[in-house]
Amino acid sequence: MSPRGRTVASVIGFVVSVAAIFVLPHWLELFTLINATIYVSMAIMTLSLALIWGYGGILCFGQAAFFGLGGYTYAVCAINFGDSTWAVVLAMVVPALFAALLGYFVFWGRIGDVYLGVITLTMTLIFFKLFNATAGDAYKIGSAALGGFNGIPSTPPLNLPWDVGTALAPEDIWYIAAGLLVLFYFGSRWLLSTSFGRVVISIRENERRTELLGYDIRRYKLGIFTIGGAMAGMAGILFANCVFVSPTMFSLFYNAQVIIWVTVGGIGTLLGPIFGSIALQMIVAELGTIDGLDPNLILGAILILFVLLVPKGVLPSLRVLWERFRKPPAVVEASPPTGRPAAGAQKATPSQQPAADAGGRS
Amino acid sequence: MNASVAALETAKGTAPQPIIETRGLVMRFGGVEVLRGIDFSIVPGELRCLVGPNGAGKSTFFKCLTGQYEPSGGEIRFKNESIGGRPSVDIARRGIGIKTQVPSLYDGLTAREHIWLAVKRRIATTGGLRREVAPAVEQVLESMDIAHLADRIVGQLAHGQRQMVELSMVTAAQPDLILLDEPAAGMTHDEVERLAALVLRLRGTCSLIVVEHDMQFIRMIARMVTVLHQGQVLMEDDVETVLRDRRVRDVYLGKREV
Repeated sequence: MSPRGRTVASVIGFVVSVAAIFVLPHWLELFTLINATIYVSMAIMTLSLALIWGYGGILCFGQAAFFGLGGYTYAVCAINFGDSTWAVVLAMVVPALFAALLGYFVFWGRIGDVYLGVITLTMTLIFFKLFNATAGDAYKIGSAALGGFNGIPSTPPLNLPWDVGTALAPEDIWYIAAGLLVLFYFGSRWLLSTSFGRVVISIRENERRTELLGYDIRRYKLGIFTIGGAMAGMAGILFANCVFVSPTMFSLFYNAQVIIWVTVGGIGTLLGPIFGSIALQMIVAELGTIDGLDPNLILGAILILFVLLVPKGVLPSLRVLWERFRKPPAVVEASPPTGRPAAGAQKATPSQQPAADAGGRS
Repeated sequence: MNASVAALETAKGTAPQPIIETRGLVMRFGGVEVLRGIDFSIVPGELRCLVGPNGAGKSTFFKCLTGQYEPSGGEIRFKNESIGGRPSVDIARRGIGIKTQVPSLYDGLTAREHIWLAVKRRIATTGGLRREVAPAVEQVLESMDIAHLADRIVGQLAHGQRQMVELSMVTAAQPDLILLDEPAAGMTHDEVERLAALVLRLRGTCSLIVVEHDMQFIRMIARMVTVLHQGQVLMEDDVETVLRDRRVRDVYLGKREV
């Protein structure tokens, strides 16, 4: 697709998504709308992982730690302040700072990919244990009891900034959540098109090369990791507004499913993981109502099927099909050995398509 | 000796300061000593070829110069500052660029993006303006004759084309010293000739150290050649003397030294 085609597609996508945001509350019952809000908050967390894993090359097995930290920070601050304004700000700042601190040790210590996965997973499990052990009156931050395994059931809803009287209704939370998802998506695309984003992508492609060109890769990795942490924190706030915060937010289950959503949607794309997460949540919820079918089993089966049959994920595979459908001969063409290739013959092979798009098409 | 070196010499009235110099450079991996005290230096603007059989320590030497390995002993001085053991990033910013033996590229990016990364870094380091980047990228693509590859994904290019993209990227950063590790490997005859012309063109603007096995190519570009053997400098002389030398032939053909 030409740059102009991409712009047109973006505008159409933007208009359609905004229309959907405003139409859905009129169609859906309240219960379904709240569920949809949960899906969207999870999609934001998925987007954060799609960004740092798919573009930054950082496989974080503990993205839910930032999600949970965001949720808890929001709940504790909102209860203590009685106003959600600063709670929201802090609930993005705290996970971001935590990500920055962890990232500092991991990236400056030059920890390898595998160990990074182990460390982040361990970190989220430590949070899980820690918050599970906070039952009883001894564990209070200000007037907010952490509540151990039960979490904080009385998580206050968002209110308009600096206006305590206006607790927002579930419909309003829907507009905010869906609006933020659109905002974060276009924000991520913009980020990847900046100089910073392009260097981040180059680090994913070949870390050593970027370093030998004179880029301090640690700073770039730290930057994208921190942004991912803040975004996951925002997802935690929204989740806390639809459900309530509890230690399960840090659990292995949440960590694993977000990785599955990104994998199924397509690593190296942004839209794939967003739609992948929403679709899979709907499928699993639907199938989960059937007696005798365990939702976890379904999710596991879906992952295995995708890894075996569609290893690149849905979106990249759809692109391959689209290219093949659009112009059959161009795809099989190898790079001409010499001379200038015809203008039309410069399409990427399917396997390299997502990377080539960088911040562009997804 | 080319013009810039000669000018430097007259200005100072003495032999020019070496741009890079190693003294007693040692690199050990466990009990294995890969570099065993290398004394090496070149003057600004010089092109030096580095030859030697496999395992002589050429690539290890380059990795020490670019900060990928921390030397076990000895000193490395670049532009009269000690750089041994400094991080790669720091050394790259001081002005050493390298084209590694195995092509090191971004397989998912286009050729233009490769050049952009190098130019962007150079302009950021030298405090240039952001709007200078795009025209400079186009200029590099033109002058290196890879403009027709600009929008191609590098992972799909033929081997020789990839070598050219990597070389263009390294030179686009305009380093003061360029290290080329087997740049002609796997190239066709025509490509080797183009490469030689390019390297000769570069010689006026920066210093180069080139590791090569292709004697034909070395004859095309070099005057001075340094021979490494078992982690030490075996000899250092002009091309013809080196190529005629009995010891050099022996180490290349694997004959035991007497």
